[in-house]
Amino acid sequence: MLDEHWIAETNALLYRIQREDKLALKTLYDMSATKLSSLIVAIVKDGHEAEDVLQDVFLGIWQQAKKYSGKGSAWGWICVLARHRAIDRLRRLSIRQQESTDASPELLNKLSEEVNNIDKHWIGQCLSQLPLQTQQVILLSYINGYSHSELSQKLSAPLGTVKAWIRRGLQELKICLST
Amino acid sequence: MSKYIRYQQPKICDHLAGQYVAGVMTEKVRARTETLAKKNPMLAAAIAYWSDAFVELQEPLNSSSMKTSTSDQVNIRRVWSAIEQRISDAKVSNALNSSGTRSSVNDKETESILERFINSLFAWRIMAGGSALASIVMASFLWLAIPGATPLISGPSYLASMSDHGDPSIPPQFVLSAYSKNTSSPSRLTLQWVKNKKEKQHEVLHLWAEVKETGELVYIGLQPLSNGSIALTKPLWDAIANSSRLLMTEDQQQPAEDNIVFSGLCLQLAQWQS
Repeated sequence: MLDEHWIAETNALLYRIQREDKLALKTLYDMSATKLSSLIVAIVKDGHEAEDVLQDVFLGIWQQAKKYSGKGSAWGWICVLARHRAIDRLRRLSIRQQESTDASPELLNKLSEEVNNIDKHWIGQCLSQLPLQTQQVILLSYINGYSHSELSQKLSAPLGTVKAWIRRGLQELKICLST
Repeated sequence: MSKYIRYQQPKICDHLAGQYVAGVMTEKVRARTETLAKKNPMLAAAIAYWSDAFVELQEPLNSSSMKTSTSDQVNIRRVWSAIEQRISDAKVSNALNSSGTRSSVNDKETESILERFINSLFAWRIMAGGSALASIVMASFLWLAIPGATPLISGPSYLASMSDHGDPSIPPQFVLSAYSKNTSSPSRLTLQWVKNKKEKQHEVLHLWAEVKETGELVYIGLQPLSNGSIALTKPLWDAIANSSRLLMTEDQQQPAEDNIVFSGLCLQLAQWQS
C-alpha cells in the first residue's frame, strides 16, 4: 500500500524533473519502474510491448513534467499517464480480439479480494459495495484498459448499458468515498 | 446551454474526470478532455481527485501472487538505457533546432539580468581592486535590499558564487542558491550559470559542504551542471546552512587540490534579509 513517504518523494522528484534534473528522473525510475511495469503489463499483456510503453512513459514524464499542475499527487498523475500510454499502444496493436485470458473472472475475483483485504483500502471497500457487474466493468476498464465498446463486446451487453453501468458505478463510488 | 458553461458544472466535470481516469475514453475524447482541463480548474481538480482515488486499486498488481510471467519479461535495466539514449538524442536534436535557446522566457530574462548584474559587479571589482566574490555578495545584498524592488529571485537563504578552483581572480562561473521550503515547493538548491557555457566539460559534479566550525567535508550529492534546481532533504539543508564553503569535485573522493573543479564561499542571506 502506498504510504505518505512514497507520495511525498514522488512529488519532490517530479518537481525536480520539471526543472530538468535527469538524476531525479533516474531516481524516480529506480523507485517506480517495477510498479509501473506491472500496471502496463496488465493492459498490454506482452513483455516486449510493455518495455516500449515503459520507455514512452518515462520520456513522457521527462518531456511533459511541466504539465503536472500540482493538483493531486504526482504519483496519481504518473499512473494515469502510464495507463493511457499502455491503452493507446494496445488499441494500436488491436490484439484484444485474440486475447482470451485477460481479465478472466478469476483474476478479477483475486484482485477484488486483494483490494478488500488491504486495511484502510477505502476505494476497495467502496468498490466491493457495488453490484458485481459494475465492479467488473470498472476493474476491466481501469486495470485492463477496456474501452466502452470493448466492454460491450466482451460482456455481450449493449453499449448504452455498459456506459450506464460505468457512469452509475463512478457516481456511487464518489458518494461512498466522500462519506 | 453553451458548451463552456456546461463544462463548468461539477457533475459534468466529475463524470468526465471519472471516465478519463477509468480509461474508457477514446484517444480523441481524452485529448479533448485534457484541453478542457487546462482551461477548467474544476475539471482539472476532478481529474486529480479520481487519479488519486483510483491509484491504490492497482497496488495489488504488485503483490507476488498477482505477478505474471509477463511482468518478469520486462528488463528494467535495458529500458533505462533506451530512455537515456532517447533523452540525449532529443537533447542533441533540440540543440540543433533551436541553437540552445531556452524554453522559458522568464528563465531567459532572469539569466540575462543576472548575467548583466554579475558582469557589472565584476567591473566594479576590478575598479575597486577587491575580490570578485566579496563584490558579488555585497552587491547581492544591496540588490535584494532595495525597498519596494521586486527581487529577481525571491529570498534565497544561502548563496555561493562558484569560481574555477575557487580562484577569486577568475570571474564566477555560476551561482548556487539555497531556498528554504515553502507551501509550494521543498527546500532546494538552484544553479544559475552566469553565462551560457558552451564548452561544459562536465554534465554533473559531486557537491560538498565544508562545515564552518570544524572544516569537516560533508558530501551533498551529485549536482547537474545545468540551470535548474534539486530538492534538499533536511540533513543536506543543514549541511549547507552550517557550511563556510561549497566545493565541487570530479569524483566522490574527498575534495583536494587535484580534484576540486569549482568552489565558493557560502554566505547566509536569510538572516540579513529579515
